[in-house]
Amino acid sequence: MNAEHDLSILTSFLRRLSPEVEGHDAGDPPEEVAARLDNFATGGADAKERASLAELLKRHPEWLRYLGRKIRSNAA
Amino acid sequence: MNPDLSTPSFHSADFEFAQDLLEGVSSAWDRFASELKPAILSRLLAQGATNADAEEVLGLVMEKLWAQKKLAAYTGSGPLQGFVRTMASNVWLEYLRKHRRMIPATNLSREDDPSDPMEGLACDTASPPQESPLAELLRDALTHALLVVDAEALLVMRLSLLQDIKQRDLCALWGGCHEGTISRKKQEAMEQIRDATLAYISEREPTLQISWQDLIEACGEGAEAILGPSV
Repeated sequence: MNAEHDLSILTSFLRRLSPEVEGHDAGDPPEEVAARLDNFATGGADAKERASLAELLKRHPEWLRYLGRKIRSNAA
Repeated sequence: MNPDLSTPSFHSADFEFAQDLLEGVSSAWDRFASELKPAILSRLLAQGATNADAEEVLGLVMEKLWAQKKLAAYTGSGPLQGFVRTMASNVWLEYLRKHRRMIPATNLSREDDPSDPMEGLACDTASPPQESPLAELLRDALTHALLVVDAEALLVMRLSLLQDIKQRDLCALWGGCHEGTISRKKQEAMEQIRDATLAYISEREPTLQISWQDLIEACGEGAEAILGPSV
């Protein structure tokens, strides 16, 4: 099993069938969530906050792109 | 359907082969019999069909591919073999569901169930047949798997593989952990998704013996067979 290959295939498949599941960028998250994601993106989240955000993002994968952008811009 | 010739993974030879099949070129049919028929039959046997079932389902696959022109959905985005094998899995699932419904009326009455068995049948037939039961089954199974997978492992995997976040940046976000920890989380997430997906399918369709390899093929190279051409 190649995780990268498999995930990419499954994600494309789900995007075609259920865009809301692995889907599109719904824009920026609400302010309070954005603040938590910004903090996470700078490495400021402790284990409890990471677990809580992970659960939140599992329910709202549409906010992952926002988080990805923040992490990349901090790392640059 | 015009193929996207700019796509690097365009399978031009397979695409031409499919066009020849659609046009009824006899050498293409010979090639189909020697190459694709055995691939379809072996897929069906691996998914739990008996020899007789496999032969019958093969006939249904041929009917779909040519009489119903489902082969026209093939754009060459993956190998033709993946397309026809996925089509076969889909037809096999339709076949299993259809035959599961064909229960003798005497088996519908249960002593502990006072309801009219015909009402049950009416409810059953009220659901229209699905165009692509395999696509729907896979979608439901994967959606379920994404709900049960460990949330942190899933986040690590998505950030790494879908958002291209570097391993060392993920380590920094996860309290300065070792890169091996991040790799393990990704692997764990994918294994959990695989196990939960297959378990869901096995519970919903116990007679469909689909492997992870088949599933990846159906969602990838064979997706056009169950979803139509991608736009």
